[in-house]
Parts: sequence; structure tokens; C-alpha cells
Amino acid sequence: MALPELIGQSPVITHIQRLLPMIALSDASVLISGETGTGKELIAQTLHQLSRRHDKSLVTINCAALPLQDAEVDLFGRADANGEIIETGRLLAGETGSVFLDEVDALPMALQAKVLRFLEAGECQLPGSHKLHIIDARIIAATSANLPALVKAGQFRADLYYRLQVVPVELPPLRERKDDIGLLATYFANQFARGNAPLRFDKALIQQLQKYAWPGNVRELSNLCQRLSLLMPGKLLRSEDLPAEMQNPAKCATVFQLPDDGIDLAQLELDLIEQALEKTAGNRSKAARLLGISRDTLLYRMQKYGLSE
Amino acid sequence: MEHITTSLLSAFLLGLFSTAHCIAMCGSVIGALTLSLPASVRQSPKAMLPYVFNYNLGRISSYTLAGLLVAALVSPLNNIGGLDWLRYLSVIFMIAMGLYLAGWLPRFAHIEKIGTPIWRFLQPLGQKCLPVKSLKQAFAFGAVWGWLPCGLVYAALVMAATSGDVVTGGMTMLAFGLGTLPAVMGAGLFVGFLSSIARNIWFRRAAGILIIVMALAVLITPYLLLQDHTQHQYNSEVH
Repeated sequence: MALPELIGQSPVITHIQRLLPMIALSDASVLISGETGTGKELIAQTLHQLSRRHDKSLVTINCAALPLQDAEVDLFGRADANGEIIETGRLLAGETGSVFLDEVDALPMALQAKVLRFLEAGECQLPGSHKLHIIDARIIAATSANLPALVKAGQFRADLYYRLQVVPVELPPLRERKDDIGLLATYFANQFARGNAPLRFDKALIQQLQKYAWPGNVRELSNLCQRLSLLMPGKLLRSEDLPAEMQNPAKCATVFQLPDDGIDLAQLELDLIEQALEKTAGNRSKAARLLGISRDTLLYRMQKYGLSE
Repeated sequence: MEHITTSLLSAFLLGLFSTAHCIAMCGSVIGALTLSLPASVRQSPKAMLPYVFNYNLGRISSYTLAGLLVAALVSPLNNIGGLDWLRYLSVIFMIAMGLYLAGWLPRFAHIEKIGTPIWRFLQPLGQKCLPVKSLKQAFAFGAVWGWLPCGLVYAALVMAATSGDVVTGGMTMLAFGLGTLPAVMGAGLFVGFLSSIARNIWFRRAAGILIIVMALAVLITPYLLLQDHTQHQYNSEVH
């Protein structure tokens, strides 16, 4: 069986590689957490392929992209008064297979209770009908948000969080598995070579890459390798071939010079949040983008400073 | 006798202080095992307990077996004074483990590579027990799970090796396994609460520091006992 490859030899990745077959065969729902670009979807695919459902479909649902109107119908489908299904929802499309709920933190509150019920008993009530339908699908959820913080802020149901959290898989950010960067870079170089000679990296360059913080994690490294493979196929890369922020990460990381007499960090954070909200006329998603954080993080911080109503 | 009691007690405490580590490393296995049980079993704690017990019985049996084997392997060292060295090694190992648990020595986890060959051999057998449907399967899965590469188990094994006696070696690992029991059994039942504790860096640091303190205590205890013993001898000679 060809598996999507989970590349890495660092202890934390090796441990995950050992756990996945055990978790996969159990048919239990799983919560994959990790920063953006750490490989959550890859883990979901691996779990599906290692499971007994591997010859059935893996349906991916991005909860952040569910339609605002009729999210419930989109997810669960619709039935008539007799309980006959007249519209197949995406959960039902994963019948006998697995359903990957990506960005589960964005699941509308109203649907969270229904998803919990489905997780607990495999049953759901389709809109339009009072009859309970049994769906046999395994749920694999993923999030890059801080779910406990969202639970505290009242934006995610505690019971759903505890139910999902029973089988957690936590992916480390790339900066915490620096030993894997060389291995991953070589893997991506070979993958993107497309018949040409693959990119090569000298030792100093790998060390340079290990100093960078990788906010976009493995995906950022993959994108870099893809771009460089196109621009300089087969070349032995040196530090000067890297983008400026990677050549001197320490210098670029300093966007704000700390005054000698120090600052009040909490006040500064509050000021910045207020400014961002002012600039975007209170639009939280846009404000979060201005601050370079997720909407959930912004909401959590607003709550912390008593800015939410 | 005092040495044996100290050894068993330290092994038990090592297991107990490692709660955060056990939940972080094995939490998902425990959760998966619990959730994969038939719903009828899962919904009744009374019906679930024998399964959780058997998983752990299997796991701790494997630890005990490993303790017996390691102690048997190193027992010849007893005659040539190698055990003192082993004891120092064990203290170093425990300090390293404490630093690792506290988050100050992440590279210590590379030690897990030692167990990879055994795990490669045993893992397919574990797979065959899934999904667990009977208590026998639960025990068998637990027994395989006991060999999952784990730095903490290796720290306990070095401790068991220092006992210099096969039975004490096995008992040391049994005591260690019992120490991990509250965390691993509890994780199945209070998973949310325990996993939030396990993520808490201060909790992990406290556990790591406790293990370092314990390692130092293990180091000096024999000297204290020796002193105590000399004092007793001295007193009886005087009187």
C-alpha cells in the first residue's frame, strides 16, 4: 500500500510514525493539531490509508469554507418528512469511509452540537426530517487554532473539544524539528526535479535554513524548494541563493527595536489591536490579517483585554 | 533490604512523576483503545474497567519481563564491582530524563532508537489485536504496547539493572509500571483534564525537577545508609 510519506527522523516525528498505525486501526475519531503547514492533511490521509476503510473514500470538508447559509444542509444533507434523503450531505458522502474535518475550530456553534451527537452515536437528524439517520463514517478533525482558548472564550463547545481530544495527534512546528530540515529539503528537491537533476544543498545552507523560524512550516519549505527547483534546476545552492529573510533571519526578525527603558508589552498589544480594529472599521477578520494572527487568536486576545462585547 | 526498598520506591516514584510524559506520549493510544471498544462496553465504566485493566496488566507484564531480562544480563557484573558504575550511570540517566521531561534536553529522546528493532518486530503483532474485542486481546495488545520505544522505560530499566539480582530487577520494573498506572489508567477516564495538565510547562518542569532530585537522593542514599550503619556499629561497640 503506497502511503503518503511522513518525512523525518526527529524523535517526535518517529514517535508519531509509530503511533499512527495503532490509532488508524482503532477506528476512533482523531484530532490533529499543529500550526499551519505542519502536515495535518498528510496525517489525515495516512490515517485513512492505514485504516480498514482505506479502499473507501476520504471526504475532506473545510469547516472554514462551509457556506454561511445552509451549512447544516451542506454537511448533513436534507430529508423529507418521511425520512427519505433528498439531498446527500458531505458526511453521508463519506459513508463507510473517513471524513476529514479541516479547520474544525471554524465549525459554526449551531452545528457543533450535531457533530458531537454524530461522534458519540454515529447518528444525526437530517434537516427536514425528525428521523434519526445512522452514518458510518470515521471522523478525523484538524485545527491550527488553540482550541482550549476558544473553549474558554465560549467559541467552541467544551464537550465537543473533550470528545475530539480523546485521540490527539500533535504536530510540532518545523522550528522544533530542525534536524529534519535537511532531509525534507532533499525530499522536496527530488520531488520537484521533474526529470531534471535535483537541487543540491551545501552544509552551510542547511545550517542557514535551520536558523530560520519557518512560520509557514513544512509547506513554506516545500514552496521554497519548488520555486528554487524551477529557477535554478540542478544547482548546488548556497546561502546567497536564499530569500533575504532566510539569509539573515536574526536581522530580519527584529521589526521593533526595544527601547533601553523597556515597554509595557500588554499596553502595546492592546494599542495595536485597537488600531487594527479602527483601521478595519471593526472587521475582525481583516484586523487579524493586519496583525498577522488568526481570527481566533485575535478574538481570544480581545476577550483577554475586555474588548469583546 | 534497604537498598531494595529504595530501588522499588524510586522506580515507583519515577513512574508516578512521569504522568505528563505518559499522557503526552501514550495519550492517543489510550484514547484510541478506549474509543475502539464496542459502544456497549464504552458507555459503562463497569464494563470498560476490565479492558483498561488488561491493557495495563499486559503493559506492566512486559516491563517486568524486560526488568528480569536486563537484570539477568548484567548480573555477572555483580562479581566484578560493575554495579557501582551502573548505579552512577542510572543516576546520570535519571538526571538526563528529568532535564528532558522539563524541556531542557529534548535530544535525550534519541535514546528511543535503542528499542526500534524490537518494536519493528512486535508492532505487527499488536496490529493483529486491533480492534480489541476480548479481554485476552486487550492483554496481548498491552503486552506489545509495553515495548513501545520510550526513554522513560529505558531510564527505569537501567535502574532495574543496578539491583544486581534478577527478581529485584523484575520487581523494580513492576514498581515503575505501577507508578505509571494512575496516569495511564486515568487518561482513559479523565482525558481532557489530564491532557491540559500534561501540556502545562510548569507541571512538566516540576516533574522533571522532582526526578532530578530523586536521582540525587538515589546517589546519596547508600552513603547515608552506610553512615547510619557505621554509627550503629560504633554505638554498639561503645556500649
